[in-house]
Amino acid sequence: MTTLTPRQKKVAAISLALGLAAAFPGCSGGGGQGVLPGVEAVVFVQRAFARPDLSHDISGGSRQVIDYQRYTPGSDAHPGGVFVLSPPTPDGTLTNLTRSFHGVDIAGLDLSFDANQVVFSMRMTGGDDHYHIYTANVNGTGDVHQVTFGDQDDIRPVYVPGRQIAYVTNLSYTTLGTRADEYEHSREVTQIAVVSLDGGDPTLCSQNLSHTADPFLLSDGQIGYSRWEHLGPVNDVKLFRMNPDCSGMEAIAGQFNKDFNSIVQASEVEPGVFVAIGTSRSRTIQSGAVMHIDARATSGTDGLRIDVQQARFTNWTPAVPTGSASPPSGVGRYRNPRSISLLTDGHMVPTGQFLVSWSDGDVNDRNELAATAPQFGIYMFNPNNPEERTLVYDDPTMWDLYAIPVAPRVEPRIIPRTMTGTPDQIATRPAIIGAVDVAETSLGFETIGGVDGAALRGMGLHEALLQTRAVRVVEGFSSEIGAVGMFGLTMHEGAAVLGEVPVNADGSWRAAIPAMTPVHLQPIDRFGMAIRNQLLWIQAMPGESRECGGCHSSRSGSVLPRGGVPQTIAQQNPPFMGTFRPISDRTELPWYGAPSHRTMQDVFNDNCVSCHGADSTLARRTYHVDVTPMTGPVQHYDIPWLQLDATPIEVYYEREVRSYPASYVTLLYPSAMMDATVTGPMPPIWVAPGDARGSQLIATLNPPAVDDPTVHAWSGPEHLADVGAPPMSAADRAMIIQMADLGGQYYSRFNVDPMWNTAGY
Amino acid sequence: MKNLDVILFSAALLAPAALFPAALFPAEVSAQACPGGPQYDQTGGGCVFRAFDQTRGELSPHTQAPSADSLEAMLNSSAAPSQIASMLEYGERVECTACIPLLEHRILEDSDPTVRELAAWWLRRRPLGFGAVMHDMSTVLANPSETATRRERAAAAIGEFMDPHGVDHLGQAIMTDVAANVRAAAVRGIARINASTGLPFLSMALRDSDPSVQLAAVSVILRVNFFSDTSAVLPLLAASDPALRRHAANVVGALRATDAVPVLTAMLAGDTDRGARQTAAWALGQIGGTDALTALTAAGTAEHDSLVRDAIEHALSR
Repeated sequence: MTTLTPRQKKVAAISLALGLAAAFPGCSGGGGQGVLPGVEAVVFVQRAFARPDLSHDISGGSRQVIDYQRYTPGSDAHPGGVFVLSPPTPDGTLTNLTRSFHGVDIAGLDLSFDANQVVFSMRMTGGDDHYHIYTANVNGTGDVHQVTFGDQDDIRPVYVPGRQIAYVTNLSYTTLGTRADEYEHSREVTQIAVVSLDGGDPTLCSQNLSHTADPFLLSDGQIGYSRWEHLGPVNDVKLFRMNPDCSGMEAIAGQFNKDFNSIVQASEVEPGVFVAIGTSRSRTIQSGAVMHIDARATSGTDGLRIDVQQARFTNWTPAVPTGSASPPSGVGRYRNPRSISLLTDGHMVPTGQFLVSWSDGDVNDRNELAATAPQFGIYMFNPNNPEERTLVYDDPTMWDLYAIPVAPRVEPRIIPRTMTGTPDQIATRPAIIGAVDVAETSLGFETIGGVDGAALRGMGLHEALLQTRAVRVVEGFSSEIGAVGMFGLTMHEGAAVLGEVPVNADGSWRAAIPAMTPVHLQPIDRFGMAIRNQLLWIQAMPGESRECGGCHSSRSGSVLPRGGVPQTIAQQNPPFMGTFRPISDRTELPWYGAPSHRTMQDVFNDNCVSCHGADSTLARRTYHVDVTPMTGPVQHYDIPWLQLDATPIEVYYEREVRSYPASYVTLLYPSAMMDATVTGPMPPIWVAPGDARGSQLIATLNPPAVDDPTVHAWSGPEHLADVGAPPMSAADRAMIIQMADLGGQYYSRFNVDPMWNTAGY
Repeated sequence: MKNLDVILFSAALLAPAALFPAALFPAEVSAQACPGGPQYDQTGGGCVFRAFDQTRGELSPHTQAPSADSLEAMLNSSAAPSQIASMLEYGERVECTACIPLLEHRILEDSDPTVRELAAWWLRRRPLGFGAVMHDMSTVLANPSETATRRERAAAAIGEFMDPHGVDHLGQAIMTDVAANVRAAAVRGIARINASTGLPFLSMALRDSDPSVQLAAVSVILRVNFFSDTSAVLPLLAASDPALRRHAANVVGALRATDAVPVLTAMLAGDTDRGARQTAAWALGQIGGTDALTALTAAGTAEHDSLVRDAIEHALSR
């Protein structure tokens, strides 16, 4: 429970005593007994789904689980907007708080702590064609005020203690601009920002490569949010939290134990316990099952801690599919669940009831052309009896969303600001990351199995991590870098090695990295291969220090330096600075066509092509792919089993379109194929994207240990030496290993646009 | 049996079992016994975690792809636009060569922009067959006997292909196409490609004779890497179309164009469009300096519209 300040108690008492219903002048309806116990009014949003031509905009905007850029303006007959319903009954009185605007669409709503003001995101006709943040008085008096401005969309605002608003925005604020996830059609993604209601520029938070969405306030003053995670084969939406100054971003649920794809529209029920929508990543109109999430640790030193590894998910509406399948009639799908909590003796006490939006029917993009579109109304929901929903309000011509009981609530404590960093400081103020003991991990054999490949094959992660020589820090980027719709024959996004941080004898490490930049980590062994590929982006603000226990150490335990000393070796020394470099100095691995950099093709040309060129035995051994081109009959093509020169495989790419060199096709095509019609002897998975240990190319090279050239990663001889060829340089060998560990990308910034070669941070 | 060779290779390279403590190998672990994340290694590794799984593709739940047959059948049907879009998206890696001509038809003929966009997106992710579509789209775009609608859609598709070779085709359309909607689509396409080679064409479009082309350009240039030609934007602050003035003010503000201050000052003081006055105030706040602050302060006392006053107060609070 949280506590009200004396002033808040007074406001609450006055509001309840006067009866909030009396404050809302009516424009329709009236009377009736409220269906929400202890609640005099609700504020909610009406969004249009019918276009002027009467077609339905069902899953417009991003078309994904992230509700974004779906602008269907309300009409004069059915105006979209922010409405207060008092009393909260189907025939209650409606007050439109945005009645002075036309062509309105609202993308998010929150109520102030004293219940007197709402903040919302609005786009309307006559504006600048963007969603921005606005405030209005709940009782309908006074002007609507605009909080954000500029050439961007600002959506899903929530109040934060200290007269602040958190929201998500597609504002461009770093050298890399607005991130654009190549997987999400290179659509601009949203990042979180926090702005003061008293003016000034917003605090802009560290970037992620995919959407940040649906911020919500936690009772301890932190901000929770959903985050789309796209890193190689991982592609889902998890729950995160952070401080209002953008520091301390961390996952709180969804990385483990989740058998559905996306967690969105979460709100807090009590500390560490949330209610959210669990659903598919697309096709469900951002609706799904009502999911109860308990992220409190069940073991460890502090039971109140949130532990992402222990988060438990309970589907309160088990009849609702958590995928994209059609729900049965009468089951429908839900949106925007919110606990109805009431003030009792200065504390917020959950009533056990919830406000939700719900629509019957298919609630799926498949019924877009149906005569009757899915449409959401507002209901009271009891998880003990999920089939029984009590109607609060439903306008069948509109979607009724984001309902909030109009009642004061406790304003959590203000979390003191410790970060003052801005995007302008990325070049000068690094963030610090590190670990107390890299081998400390809660990812046991029962959770992730063993480590795969080479000398560590079959080991548990802890035992394997004890052999960590360095930690590779990998920067991620996506198609915001320019003309790249995908990064090659791989699901991985763009990558650059910021550096490899030496691990000290006590397992500690510490490094300076560019702030606000998504990175992931790879502890690497003595052969230069990743022992584990972290498949979660991490980031930090300028000047922020984020040092964890180990490689996914227990969130509910504590990690102490080895040997019982008070400080690790890393903590006693300055951070490693080799990972803090401008873009033009970062280690990228363009495959071909980057005059400014050594490419993968250069490495193959210097070391491999003399034996593995077009005339080699393995190049003449081919497998066959059947292709039906745009015009004409099926054509048959032969792809070399292994050919490492730059001969363009033009036949597959035709005419003017840039072709991949043979080396890329032969090495990556075997892992990229899905349902291609292929015949003939298949080559091995030469390059397993993101996994050098699982790549036959690396196994064939059989790299020696950096500290003992007589020891090799696999049994057997080192390639090149075994055939009497000149040895490959350590740098070239490292490039090949890194290429596999990073994901087998063809493109980097330096073969997409030469301008990046001169770009700084 | 695609992976037979892989298995043989892996088997040949097995490290001696004696190298590993027996306790680290779970005895008789079956595929069913592996917990959620790991896979069962048929070659003796037991349950192991792999960052790459050719069979599953994505490791996250509910990311199943449609079959090639169902994809083709849907493209031949009258399915809802977003259903087509969703299935194409989940079918990102499905090799459906028979779908290619169907999707090209959709690009040029489908009335729904979502379907056209997703069709181009799916095609650009095909290693096979994409080149022919690129060629056909550029041919349609360059052919004056094609309808303007088809040329416009071809331009949009070329942009969606996100291939730098498309810049030349689109640039040529900006320079020569008689239809403003085609030139505007070419502008948006160049922005979509986002290559520095397209920057001169965007500057050219900002000086186009048709306001719709200018609006297309000024609406996208802040999303294009390395754009800095504010001299091409400044004249738009005096355009007759208020939308152009609003967007131009946003651009010169974001790019901190100090030479725009006099025009922005005039806009803030006298523009009849509320949005234009708002963006002028915001831009002056971004640019800063004595002249901008003086203009904002003066306007603050005279302005009657509350939203414009909000913009002025915001600008002065920076």
